[in-house]
Amino acid sequence: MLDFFTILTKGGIVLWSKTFARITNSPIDALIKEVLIEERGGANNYVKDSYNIKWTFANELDLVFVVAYQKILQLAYIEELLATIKKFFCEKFAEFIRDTTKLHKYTFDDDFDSILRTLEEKDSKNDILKPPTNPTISEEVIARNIEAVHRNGGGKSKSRGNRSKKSAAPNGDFSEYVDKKSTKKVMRVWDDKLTKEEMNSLDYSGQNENIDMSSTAIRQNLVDENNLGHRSQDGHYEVADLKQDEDDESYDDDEYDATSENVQDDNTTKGSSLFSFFKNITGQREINEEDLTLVLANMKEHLIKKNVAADIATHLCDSVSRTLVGQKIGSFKSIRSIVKQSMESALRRILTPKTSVDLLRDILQAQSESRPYTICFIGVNGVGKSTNLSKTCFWLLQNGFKVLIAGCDTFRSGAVEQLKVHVRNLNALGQNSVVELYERGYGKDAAGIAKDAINFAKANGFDVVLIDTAGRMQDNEPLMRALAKLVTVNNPDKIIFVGEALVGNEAVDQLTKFNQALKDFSGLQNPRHIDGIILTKFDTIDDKVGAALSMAYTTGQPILFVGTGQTYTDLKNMKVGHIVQALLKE
Amino acid sequence: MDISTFTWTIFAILAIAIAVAVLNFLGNRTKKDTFLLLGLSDSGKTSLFLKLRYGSLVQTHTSMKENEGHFIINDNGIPLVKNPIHIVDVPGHEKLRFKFSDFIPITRGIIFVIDSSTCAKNSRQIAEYLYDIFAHKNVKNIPTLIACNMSDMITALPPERIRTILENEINHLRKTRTSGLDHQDSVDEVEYLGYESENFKFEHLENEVVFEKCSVKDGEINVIKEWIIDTLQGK
Ligand SMILES: Nc1nc2c(ncn2[C@@H]2O[C@H](COP(=O)(O)OP(=O)(O)OP(=O)(O)O)[C@@H](O)[C@H]2O)c(=O)[nH]1
Ligand SMILES: Nc1nc2c(ncn2[C@@H]2O[C@H](COP(=O)(O)OP(=O)(O)OP(=O)(O)O)[C@@H](O)[C@H]2O)c(=O)[nH]1
Ligand SMILES: [Mg+2]
Ligand SMILES: [Mg+2]
Repeated sequence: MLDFFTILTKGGIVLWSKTFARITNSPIDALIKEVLIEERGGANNYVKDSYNIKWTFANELDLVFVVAYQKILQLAYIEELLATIKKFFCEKFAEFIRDTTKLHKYTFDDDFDSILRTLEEKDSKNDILKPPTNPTISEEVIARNIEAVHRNGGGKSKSRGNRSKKSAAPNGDFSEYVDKKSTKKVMRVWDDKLTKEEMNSLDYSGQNENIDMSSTAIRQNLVDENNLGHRSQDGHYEVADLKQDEDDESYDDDEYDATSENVQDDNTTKGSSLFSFFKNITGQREINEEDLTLVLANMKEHLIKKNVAADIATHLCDSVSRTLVGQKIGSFKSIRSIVKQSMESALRRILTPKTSVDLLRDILQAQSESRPYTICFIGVNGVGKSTNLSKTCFWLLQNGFKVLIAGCDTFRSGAVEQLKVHVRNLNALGQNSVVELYERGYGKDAAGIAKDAINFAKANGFDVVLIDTAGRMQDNEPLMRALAKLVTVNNPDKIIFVGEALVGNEAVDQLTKFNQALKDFSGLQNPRHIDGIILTKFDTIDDKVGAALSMAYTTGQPILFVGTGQTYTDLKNMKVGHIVQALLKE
Repeated sequence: MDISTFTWTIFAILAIAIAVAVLNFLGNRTKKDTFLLLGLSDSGKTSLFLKLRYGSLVQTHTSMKENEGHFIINDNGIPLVKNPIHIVDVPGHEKLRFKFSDFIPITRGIIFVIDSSTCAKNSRQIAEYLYDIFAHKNVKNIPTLIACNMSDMITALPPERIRTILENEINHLRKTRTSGLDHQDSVDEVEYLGYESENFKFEHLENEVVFEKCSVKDGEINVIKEWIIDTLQGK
C-alpha cells in the first residue's frame, strides 16, 4: 500500500528508509524544497506527481518522518503510523541519534513491519465496524512484537561475550557494535511498553493528546534519570557513562526490575518534585503544545496587527509550532523568546527570494539573444501599476537600455494620456534616454496591441518592453480572461503583480485569483504564473508591513521592488532584514 | 524544600554557566578553526561532510538545517592532524543560504562545492552565490577552495573550463549588481570584485582561490583534505 517510508535528519541525512515500490524522482526533495523550507509545514499533506506525502517532525531529535503512498488510495491509518513509528524510533534510538561521533546503523525493519501490519489489520477490522480499542489486537501486537524483538536480536545479546571480539572484524566498522547496543535498548523499551505504553499507543480511540501524554510518561519511566547524560554547551548530547550500558547488558533481568522500581519511585516519593525543579532550571524540559498555545496566540495577534493576512498568520504559527514542539528548551530561555527566534527565521525564509531577482542580468541575457525583454505589469485598480512601471522605466533608462512602453490599458479613459506624460518626462530627464510609447487608443484588444508592440520593439532595436495593463478586480471574469489571453499570446519574460502595501486580508484573495485565472484561462499545459511582486505605497504604512509577508507567502515569489513615493526615484529593493524587524517590533 | 539547597544550586549553576561562557568566548577569539561547506543545492555538500567525517557514503536529501561537527580530518580513521576542526555544511537552498554569514567571523576556510556535470547549465546561479560570498564585507581574507565535485560523471567539465565559465558570469554580474536599485534604507557594505578596468579573474581577488576536481562518490577527496590541512598550517 505504501510506496516508501523514510526517516531522515533535518540536515538531510537518511537514517532509515524502506521502499515498497520503485520511486521515480524522489518526492522527498520536492517536499523539503516546496513545503518544509517555505514554512508551509502547517499543512497536513503534500501531493506530488502520483504520490500523496505525509510527514511529522521529531524536534527533540531534529528528525523528519516521511511516508508516501499513491494519491488514489485512502489510507486512514497513516497519521497513526507516523505517530507510532516516530515514538518507537525515537525511544529506541535516541542515544544513537544524539551521538554524532559515529555513523550508526538503525536496525528497524522488523519493528516497522510489525507496526505497519498491526495498523493495517486494525484498519481493515475498523472497516467492518468494530470498536476502535480491541483488546485482542493489543495482544496480537504484543505477541508479534515480542517475536520481532527476538528475531531481531534476542540471540545476539545472549552470546554477547563470544561475539564482542569477533564483531569488530567483518566490516571493520562499528555497525556491529551498534547493533548489539540497540538490541539491549530494544529489550528495555519493549519490556515497559508491553505493559502500559503499548496499550496506550494502540488505543487509537482518537485523541492525539492521549498518545502524547503516554509518550511523555513513558519517557519519564524509561529514561533512568541517574543515567541521563548531559548536554554540552554546543548542544550535543553527551552520554553519561558507557560502563553503565555494559552493566545493563550483562544484567538484563535485574535491570527490568530496577526500571519498574524507578517507576514507583517517581510516582510516590517527594524526590520527584525536587527533580522536576532541577529539570526546569537546567533546561531539560521539552516544549509541549500547551506551552506554545498562548505565546503563539499572542504572536498571531501581533502579526495580524502588522497587517499580515489572518489566514497566513495562522498557517505560520501552526508551522512554527510544529517545528518547536518537543524541542529542548535551553536554560534561562523563555518560551516567548524561543518562539520569537523561530518566527524570525521563518519570516526570513519566506521573504528571501528563491530565484534570482537580478532583472538587469535577465535583460542582458535577452540582449545577447537579440530579442527584447518583456515585462507585464498586472494588478487591481489604482494600485500604482502605471506609476511604478514608469519608475522601473526610469531605472532601466539610467542603465542605458532602450525602452518601449506598450499602452495596453485600453479600458480606463486617460490611461494612455497618463503614459504619454510619463514618457515626455522621462525623455526630458535623461539626455540620451530612448523611451517611446506604443499605443493604439482605447477599446481594442490588449493582447494584439502588446504583440504589435513587441514586434515593433524587435524591429527597432529596443531592449525592453514594459506592458501596462488595465486594472481589474480579481472576480471580474471577462477581464481576467482577457488578461490570461494577453499573457498566453505574448508570453512575457516576467509577469509582475503590483499590489498595495495597504492591503490586508485581501492580498491572499487577489493573488490566488490572479494566479488561478492565468492558469485556468490559458488553455496551456504549462500555464504561467506571477513571477514577482512590486509592493507600492510603502511610504504610507509605517511599520505595518504585513502585506509583504502575505504576498510573498501566497505566491512563493520574490518582492522585486517596493514603491516608496510618487517620484521616479522612489523605487527600492526590498530589504528582507528590514521587513522582518518591522514585523516583529512591538 | 530547603532554602539553602535552593540557593546553593542556583549559585553553582550560575558559576558554571559563567565559566562556560567565558571559556567559549576566549576560545572563539583565539582560534578560527571553522571550515564552511557552501554551494548550490544538490552539489554534494552533505555527502562530502559525511565522507570527511565517517569515511562512508550515506544517502541524503535536501538539507533544511546545517550539519556541523568537530572532528579530526582522517584517512580511513588514521588522523592526519592533531586537533579536531569544526566543519559546517550550510544548506544550499536559496532561502537558507544567508546562514553562512553567521559563521563568517569564525571561518578559517571556505569549500565551495560545485556539481561539475551541471555547471554550464547552472553557471549563473553558481556565480550569483559566489558573488554574494566574495562581496561579503568580511570574506576578503578567507582562502577558498572551489571543489568541482562529481568528476565521476561523463558530463563533468574540467576545473579549468569551470573557472572560465564562472569568471565570465561574474563579470556580467559585477555590472548588473552594481547598477541595481538602492536598498530601502541604509547602503549595504559590499566589496567590488576584482579591478574595474579589467575583465574579472579569480586571481584579482584578495582571497586565495583554488580550483580542484573531486568526487565524493568515488572517494576522491584527498585534494580537499590536503587543502584543509595546508590552510590550517597557514601554508
Ligand atoms: N505614496 C505613494 N503613492 C503611489 C505610489 N505608487 C503609486 N502611487 C499613487 O497611486 C495612484 C494610482 O497610481 P496609478 O499608477 O495610476 O495606478 P494604476 O494601478 O495604474 O491604476 P489603474 O490603471 O487605474 O488601475 C497615483 O496617484 C500614484 O501617484 C507609491 O509608491 N507611494
Ligand atoms: N555521481 C556523483 N553523485 C554525487 C557525488 N557527490 C554527491 N552525489 C549525489 O548528489 C546528491 C546530492 O548530494 P547532497 O550531499 O545531498 O547535496 P547537498 O549539497 O547537501 O544539497 P543541499 O542539502 O540541498 O544543499 C546525492 O544524491 C549524492 O549521492 C559525486 O561525487 N558523484
Ligand atoms: Mg494604470
Ligand atoms: Mg545537504
